[in-house]
Amino acid sequence: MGRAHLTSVAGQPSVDLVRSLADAMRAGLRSGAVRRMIVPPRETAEDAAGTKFISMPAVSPDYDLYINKVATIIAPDPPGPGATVTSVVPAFSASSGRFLGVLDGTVVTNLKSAAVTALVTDCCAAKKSGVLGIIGSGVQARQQYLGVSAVRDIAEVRVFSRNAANAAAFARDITAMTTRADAAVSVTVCESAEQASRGVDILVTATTSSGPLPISSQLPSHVHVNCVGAHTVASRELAEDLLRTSVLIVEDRHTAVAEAGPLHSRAVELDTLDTPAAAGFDGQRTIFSSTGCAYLDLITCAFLASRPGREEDEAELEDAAQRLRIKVPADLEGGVLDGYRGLRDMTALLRRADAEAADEPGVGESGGSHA
Amino acid sequence: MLDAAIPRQTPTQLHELTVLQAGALLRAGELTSTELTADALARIERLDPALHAFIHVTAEQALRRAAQADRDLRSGIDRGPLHGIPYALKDIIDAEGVPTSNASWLSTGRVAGSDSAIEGRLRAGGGVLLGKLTTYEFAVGGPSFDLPFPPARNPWSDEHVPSGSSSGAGTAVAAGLVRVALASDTSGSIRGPAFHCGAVGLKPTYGRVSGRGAHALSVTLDHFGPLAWTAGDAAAALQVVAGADPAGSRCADVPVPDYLAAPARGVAGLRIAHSPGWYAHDPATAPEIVTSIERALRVLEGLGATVEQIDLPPYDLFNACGRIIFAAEAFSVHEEDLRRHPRSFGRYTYQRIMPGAGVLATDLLRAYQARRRLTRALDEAVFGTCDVLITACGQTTAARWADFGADWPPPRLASDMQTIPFNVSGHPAASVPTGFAGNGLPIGLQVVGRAFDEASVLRVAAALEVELGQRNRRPPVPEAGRTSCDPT
Repeated sequence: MGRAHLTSVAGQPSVDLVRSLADAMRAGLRSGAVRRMIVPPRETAEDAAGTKFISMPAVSPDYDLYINKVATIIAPDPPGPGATVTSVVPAFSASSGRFLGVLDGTVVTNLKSAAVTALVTDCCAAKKSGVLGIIGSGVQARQQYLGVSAVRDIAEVRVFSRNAANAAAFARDITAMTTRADAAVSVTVCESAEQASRGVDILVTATTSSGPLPISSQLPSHVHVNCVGAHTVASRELAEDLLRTSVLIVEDRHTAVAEAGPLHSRAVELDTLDTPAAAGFDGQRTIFSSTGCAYLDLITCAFLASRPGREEDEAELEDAAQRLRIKVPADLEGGVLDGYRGLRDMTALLRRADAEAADEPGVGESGGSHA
Repeated sequence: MLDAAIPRQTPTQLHELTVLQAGALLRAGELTSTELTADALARIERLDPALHAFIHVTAEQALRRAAQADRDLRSGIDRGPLHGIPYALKDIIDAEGVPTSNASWLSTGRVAGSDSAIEGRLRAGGGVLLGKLTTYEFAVGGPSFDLPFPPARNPWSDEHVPSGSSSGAGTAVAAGLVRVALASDTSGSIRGPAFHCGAVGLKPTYGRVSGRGAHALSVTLDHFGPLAWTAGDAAAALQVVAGADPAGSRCADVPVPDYLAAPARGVAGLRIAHSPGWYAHDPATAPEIVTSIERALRVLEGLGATVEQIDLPPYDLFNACGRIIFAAEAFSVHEEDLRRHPRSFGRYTYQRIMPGAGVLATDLLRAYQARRRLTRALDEAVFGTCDVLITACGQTTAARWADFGADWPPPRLASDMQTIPFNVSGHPAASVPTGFAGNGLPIGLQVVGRAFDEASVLRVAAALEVELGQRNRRPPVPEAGRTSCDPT
């Protein structure tokens, strides 16, 4: 079993995992669980050397989870790109206070970033988007490619980075991640941000730039931009005029305004994307101006904690099929496995509910009016 | 455009007559069943090539049965409220001598050797079978193009699906091809098409209508009932098909009340529970649906009902419970074909049923236990103090064809129905139209009753129909040859 359009390389999460988490995020937004979370503003302390000490807590009664992603960011010396980030995420039961474990902050952050990009891109980008421009070549750029690829059939990728060697390495990674024999992806390393962005359907900016990038003025009117790199209250990687004339999407408006500037006060939040109101974005330029928010970390932790690996699910379903002497046609394996994973989520939910319910005598299928 | 703005009180065309109106004319000798049937067949012949509501039309048989119904009436034999009235069956329900295709390559060529319990009652009740209606394959899957028959079209819009799985029933009733269809509802398959086609869909209490002779999908979730243009028509059909079936192991032996009298009883004195918690704050719910439910509640209060806000058990638990039971039971029904003929299923169907192979017995038993708890909790929360519950049925208007790709998975919108809790609990539930959204597509709400109290559900449905349902507004039925809703 196991159909995947992209293979996992160098510690990257798989595209199926990204899709599943995006669905989990969507479910959390739709159910109201996100609105019921307590998410205090993140706290950042900074010492004289420029090292940052960050705390990003979130509490959810629905997920019965309290997490706090804590991180250190050591600034490079001399100043420039390449800060050293170390993070962990301790998790507790919100109801009992019981310590549940610690997750690797890098894993959580990378998977979360890819999944939220998948979620937003799926809602905002044109259905037939085939050309992706990526400015940046670091870890975040890779997550962005993964997230976009999870929801759109990308035929052409244009990469630009100030560091040409990094850009070339990124391009090789994209090629390695792409295994679809029927839809090879063309990857080009561009000489400028302008070239990488000209005429693309989807644009990603994932850089440490402290000011607007010199992207093309010829962005199509339907372009969707995932702007996920550096920002200050005074600037983002995109020009203010572009931000002002596009539909802005943010994880959390308060956070976005506080960290990326008052221009974001008119932005829409993620839960709007799955509503009829989002239909009005069709054909409009949309920008996901991401600043991050701990509620997505919490959903990611809940997702990771509650799920066995895909391989385990595959093995379980395969065992069941073999036991029943059923051979699943190869082209249907992916859909069957997706359906099975959905059922796993349902059984996990019922198991939790069962544990909370008082024991009842008798087991039977009938209940209420069931004959 | 056909029929727009023709008041129901003064129908000018035969297909606009309700069951009760047509019945009165038949009994008065002012109309014959043969005329009524011939008119319906002509309408099907003219409109169905574009709507694909019917898989099989039983024209000759229908005319024979209509003639017999006329002879009976002339002889003073009145077989009941559907005597001489044309109806149709979802094509998973057997009628002797007629093919039951289940909309599947696996069943092509299969002709029913005997009547289902439903068809037996309708035949004995003097009804006139017009034919078999389009369904999603085996009442599951989705609107697929890899099946032996094309999917039914939503008469309200070329661009939108009619929902399913009783898609042909929703389409045929809304387009005026038939007044009443009998269909199945395992997680919302009557109520969904009724909601998205602007009709009344009634899922009776589990066991109220026998499913013997209908293709099983999930035996403890399968319900059978009418989809009709009006609450009165649904009541008439339910009156005929409800009741004990000694040969049906899952049919309840509970007395059948006078459903026909229910719509006229009004709602004065009814205690109505309302729980917006499942839908009102869910961003997936269209604001128009929330406001239409609020408006309906005000209307009912104005008619003398009392409304009480209550809290329901978590929706997600009902959903999880239903999905697990569905998966396991549906797999058990199709296990042999999944093993021997996997390529004979449509892609959607296969990918929906096969995951059930992995459901553990312990998880299925846990789901059955959860069902007991949830049903009890629902009874305590709602029916301890109230007579009916009003909640959302669909959360959005119909999904678009363009959202359905050739492969898995179907679009999320396809599952934005809040119907499965009452398949889990077995309570009677109806989709009742409340009007139209800004995009011109129908919207409605769901009325839920105590076990075996379909009458109260029909009372509310009838009251809302008079005040809100706009039963005189029919869809602009497409003519044959239009193919603009082909999603390819």
